Amino acid sequence: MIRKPPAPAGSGIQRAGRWLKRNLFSSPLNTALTAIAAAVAVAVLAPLIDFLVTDAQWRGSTPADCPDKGAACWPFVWARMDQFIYGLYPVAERWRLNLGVALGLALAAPLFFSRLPAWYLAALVAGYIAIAKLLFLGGWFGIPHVPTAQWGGFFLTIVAAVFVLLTSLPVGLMLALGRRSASPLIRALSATWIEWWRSVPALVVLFVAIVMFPLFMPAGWEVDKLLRALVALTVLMSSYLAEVFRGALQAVPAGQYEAARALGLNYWQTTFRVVLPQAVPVALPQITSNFIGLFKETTVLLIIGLFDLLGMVQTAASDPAWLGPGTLSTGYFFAALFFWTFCFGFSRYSAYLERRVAVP
Amino acid sequence: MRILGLFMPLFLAAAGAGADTLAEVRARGFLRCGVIEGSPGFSTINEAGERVGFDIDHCKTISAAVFGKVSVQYVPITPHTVFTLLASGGLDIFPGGATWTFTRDAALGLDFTGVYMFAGQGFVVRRDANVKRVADLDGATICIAQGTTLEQNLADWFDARGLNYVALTFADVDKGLQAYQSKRCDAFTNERSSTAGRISNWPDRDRHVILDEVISKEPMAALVRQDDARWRDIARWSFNARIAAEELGINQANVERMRASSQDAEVQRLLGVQGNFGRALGLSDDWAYQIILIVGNYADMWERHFAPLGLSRGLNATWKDGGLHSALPFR
Amino acid sequence: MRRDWIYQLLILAALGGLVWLIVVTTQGNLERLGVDSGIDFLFRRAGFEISQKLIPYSAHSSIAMAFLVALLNTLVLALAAIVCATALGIGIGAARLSSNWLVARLGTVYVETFRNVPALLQIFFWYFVVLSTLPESGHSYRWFGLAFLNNRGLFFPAPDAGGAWLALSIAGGIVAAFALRRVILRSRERTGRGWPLLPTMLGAVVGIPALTALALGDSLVWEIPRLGRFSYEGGFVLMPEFLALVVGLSVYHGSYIAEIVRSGFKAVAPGQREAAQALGLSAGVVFRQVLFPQALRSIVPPLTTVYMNLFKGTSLAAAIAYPEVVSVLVGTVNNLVGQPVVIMALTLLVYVAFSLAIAAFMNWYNRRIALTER
Repeated sequence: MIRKPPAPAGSGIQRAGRWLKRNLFSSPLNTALTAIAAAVAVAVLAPLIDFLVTDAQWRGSTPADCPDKGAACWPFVWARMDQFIYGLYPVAERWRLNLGVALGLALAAPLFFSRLPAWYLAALVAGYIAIAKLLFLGGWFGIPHVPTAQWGGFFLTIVAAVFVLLTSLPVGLMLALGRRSASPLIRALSATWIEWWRSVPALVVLFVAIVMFPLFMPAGWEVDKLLRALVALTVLMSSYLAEVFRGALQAVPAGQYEAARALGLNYWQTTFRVVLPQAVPVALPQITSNFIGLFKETTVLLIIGLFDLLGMVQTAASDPAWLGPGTLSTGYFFAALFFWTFCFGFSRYSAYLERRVAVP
Repeated sequence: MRILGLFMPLFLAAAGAGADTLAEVRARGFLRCGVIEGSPGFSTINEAGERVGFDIDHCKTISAAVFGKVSVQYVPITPHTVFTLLASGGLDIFPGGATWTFTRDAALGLDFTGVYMFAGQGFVVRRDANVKRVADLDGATICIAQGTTLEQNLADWFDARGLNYVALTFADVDKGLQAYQSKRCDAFTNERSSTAGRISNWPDRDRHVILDEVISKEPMAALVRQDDARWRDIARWSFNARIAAEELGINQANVERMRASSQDAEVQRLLGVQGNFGRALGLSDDWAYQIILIVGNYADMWERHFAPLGLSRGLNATWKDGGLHSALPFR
Repeated sequence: MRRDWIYQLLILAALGGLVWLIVVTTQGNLERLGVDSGIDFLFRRAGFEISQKLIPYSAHSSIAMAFLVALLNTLVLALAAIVCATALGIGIGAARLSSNWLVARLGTVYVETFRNVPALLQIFFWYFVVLSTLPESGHSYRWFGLAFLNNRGLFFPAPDAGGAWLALSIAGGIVAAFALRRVILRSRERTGRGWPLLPTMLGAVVGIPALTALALGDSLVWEIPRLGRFSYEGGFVLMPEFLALVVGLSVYHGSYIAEIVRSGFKAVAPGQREAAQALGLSAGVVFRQVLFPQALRSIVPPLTTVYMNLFKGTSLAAAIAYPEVVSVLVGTVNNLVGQPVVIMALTLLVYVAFSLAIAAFMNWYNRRIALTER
C-alpha cells in the first residue's frame, strides 16, 4: 500500500517541478541514474520504433508490398493472419472454430462476475469439452472430419492451454491430497511421481509422448498425436499444481481440520467443504502464474512437429516469396505481442481475482 | 487384481495380432504415410492447398494399390523422429528419402523396400566463397540436418582426407538452410537433388552454387516395419510396377489402351488382364493398373516433379538409357 | 488399521501389475521389431562431429564420449545462464526498488516485457534475428586486435601451452580466497579485528593466477585468433548458438529473479532499516549486515525453482544447433542406433539427477543461512 502524501500547494508547474526533483533529481547520484536510464531507454526504443513503425511497410498484403526487407513488413502478417489464427484448418470449416470459441466465452462469462456452485462448474466443463470435441473434430451429421494434424496456430495454442488447465487442476489436487494422505505408501508414490515430473524438461517428455509412447502400447493401439502431447503436458502441469496445492493446504490451520472432524464430517466433506474453500484463494496467484507458464510452454510443441502460433510464424517466414530479415522479425514481434497480451492480461486478471476471492 | 486379470487377455491378444498392416490399413480406410514437409519436388503444398511431389506420389502409389484410389493421411515428420514413429506403428510407410544402409536395415526393426531413387550427398555454397571442390571446404562451417546418414558421411569423408570442418547440426533441413542463408555457415549439405529443389525458388538463387561433386552414394528406399513381410512385398512390387511400366512403354496416358489391346504377356500380367498377380499380394488383380492410372510410371513422376526444377534423370534413368533402374520381372 | 494395510497392498499390487504390463508389452514390441536393447551402443564409434567440445572428441571417439561432451555442454550452458540471470535479476530487482522514478519504471517494463513472452520465442529472436545482423568475419567488431565478434561467434585469445597450469591456478585462487575468508572471519570473531575481507579475497583470486603466469614465463603462450579462409581460427570461441541461448535464457529467467529479489527486500520489515539507521550504521553496513541477510531467506526458496526451470530450459537448445544432451542424444544418437527406450531413459535421468542436485544444493544453502538467525 503506497501512502499518498497530502496534495501540496502551488501551481501545476510548481508541483510538477517538485515531483521531478523528488523522483528524478534528488541527489547527484540520482540525477546521474536518471540520465543513464534515459540513455538506455532511448538507445533501445528508438531503433525499435524505427524498425516497427516509422520505417515499416504497413499497406498491402503481397510480397511485392515489402520491397525493402530491412524493416518490419506488416503485409506479411496481414497476408498470413488466417494461418496464424486457424493453422491449416480447412477454410470452409473455420466457422466451427469461431462458433466453438464463442460458445466457450459465452459459457465462461458468468464466471467472471459471480460465484457458481462447484457441481455446476464441473458439469459446464465436461459439457463444453464434449461439445468442443464434436465441433472441432467433426465427422458426424455430414460435418466433415478434420484430423488434428491440420490443427494449428492460435487455435492450437488455445486448445492446448484450456485442455491442460481443465485436466491438470483436478489431477493436481488429487496428487496434492495424495502427498498428504495418511497412508505412507500413497504419500511416497505421490511424492516420487511429483518430484520426478517436476525435474524433467517438457521438451523431453513431449518427445517421449510423441515418439515412444506407441512402443509401450500393444501393437495396433493408437492414441492421437495431439492427445498424447496434451496428456504429457497435463502430467507435467498437474505435478506443478500439486506443489501449489500442497503449499496452500499447509496454510490452512490444523484447528480447521480438528474442528471439522469434531463436527463429524468425513474426509471428503472436510476436504471439499472446509479445507479447499480456504486453500484455493491462497493457491490462486500461483495457479495463474503456472497457467501463464503453461501458455508460454505450448511453443515447445513446434519442436515436436505440432504447429502452434510460433510454429506457423516460422513456417510462413521460410516461404521463399517472403524471405528476408524484416519478415521473420515481424513475425516474431507479432507472436511476441500476442503472447504478451494474453500473459499480461492473465496476470492482471489474477490480481483482480485475488482481491475478489480473498477470505474476508 | 481381478480387473487386471480381465484385461490381460485383451492386451496379449492385441500384442499378438499386430503384424497384418494390410488388414489394418483396410480396416482404417486410409494409409498413414510419413512425409517431410516443404521440400520442393519431393513434398510441398501447392497453391490449391494440395500436397504434391515425388514423395507424395509414393504415398499415392501404395494407396492406389490397396484401395484403387487416393486415401492417404499424410503425417508430417522430421528426420530424427521418423524411425521410432514408424517402428512404433505411427506410420504404415515412410517414402521420404531414407538412405538404405546396413545399420538401418539390420538394427532399427525396419525393412527397406527397394531403391526408388539413386542420389548423392552434395553441397551448396555461396558463389563468392570461391569453392570449386568439396576439398576446398577445409576449415569451413557446414550446416546439416540432424539424424541422417549424411552426418556420418561428412565426418568420414573429411576424416579420410585429413581435412577439418565444424558441423552445425539442426533439427530439420529448413532451419539448417535458414542458418546457411543468414551466413552462419559456409556450406549446406544434404541430398543433392533435394537441395536443388529447396533452393530453386530463392530470390538470390544465382548467388549460390551446387557443387558437381558428391561425396556419397545415397540409394533412397521406402521404409516399412520389419514384422510384416507381405506389406513389404506390396510396397516393393508397387514401386517396381512403375519402373516396369516405363520399360514396357506403359504410361498414365496410354494405360487404358494398353490394358485393352496389348498382346504382350508381361503387360497383360502387370495390368491384371492375365494371371492373379494382385491376389498373391492380397490385393485386387488390377492393382498395378490403378497405380499407373492414378500416379503414372516412373517417367511420368519425374516429368511432373523434377523436370520443372531442371533435374535430369542421370542415374535414375532405366538401364536401357544408361541409368541404374531395372525393373524386376513380372513372371 | 488392518483395512488400511490391505488397501495399500492392493494399490501396490495394481501398480506393480501395470508397470509389469507396460514392461512386458514394450519388450514384446521391441523384440517383434528386432530392435537391440542394452547399452552396448555406448561403446561403439560415434562417427559424427560435434561443433562445441570441451574435452578432446572426434568422430572416432565412442558414443559414450559424445554423450559426455553433450553433458558438459549442457552444464556449461546452464552455469553461464544461471550466473548471468542472477546478476541481471539482482540488477533489475534493485532498479525496481530504486527511489528514482525512471529507473524503477524501466525495471518494471523490463520485467513485464520479458516475463510474458515465451522463452523459445526469445531464443529464436536472439539467434535468427539479432545474431544474423552481426558482420561477416572480414568486418568483425574487434577489440585491440585480440577479441573479435562476428556471425561465427565471439573469439578471444586462449593459452596454447601451459593453459592447464593457468586453469589450475585460477581454481586454486578461488579456493584460497574462501579459505582466507574463513580465517579472517574467525580472527575477527576472536579479536574484533582482522584483515579487510574483500580486498584480501580479490587479491587471492587475481594474484595467484597472475603470479603463476609470471612464473610460467615463456612457457605460457597465448594463441590469438587469426582470420583464416572462412573464419577466425585458433584461440577460444563462444558459438553464436551458445551466446543466443545464454542471452535468451538469462533475460527470460532474469525477469523472474528480479521479481523474487524485489519481493524479498519488500518482505523485510521497514522497522529493521529504521532501527539500523537509528543505531548510526552506514548505508553500506545497513544493506550488507541487516537487509540483505534477511531478504536472502525469502529469496532462496523461490530462486531454487527458477534455477531448476532454467536448467530444464537448456533443453530448448535442441531448437537451434547447440549440441547439448537432448540434441545429441535424442536428435543424433537415437537415429544412429535406434534404441529410443534406453536413450530417452538416459536423457531423463540426466535431467532428474541434476535438477535434484540443484534442489539439494539450494536447500543446503537455505538451511545454512537460516541457521544464522538468532
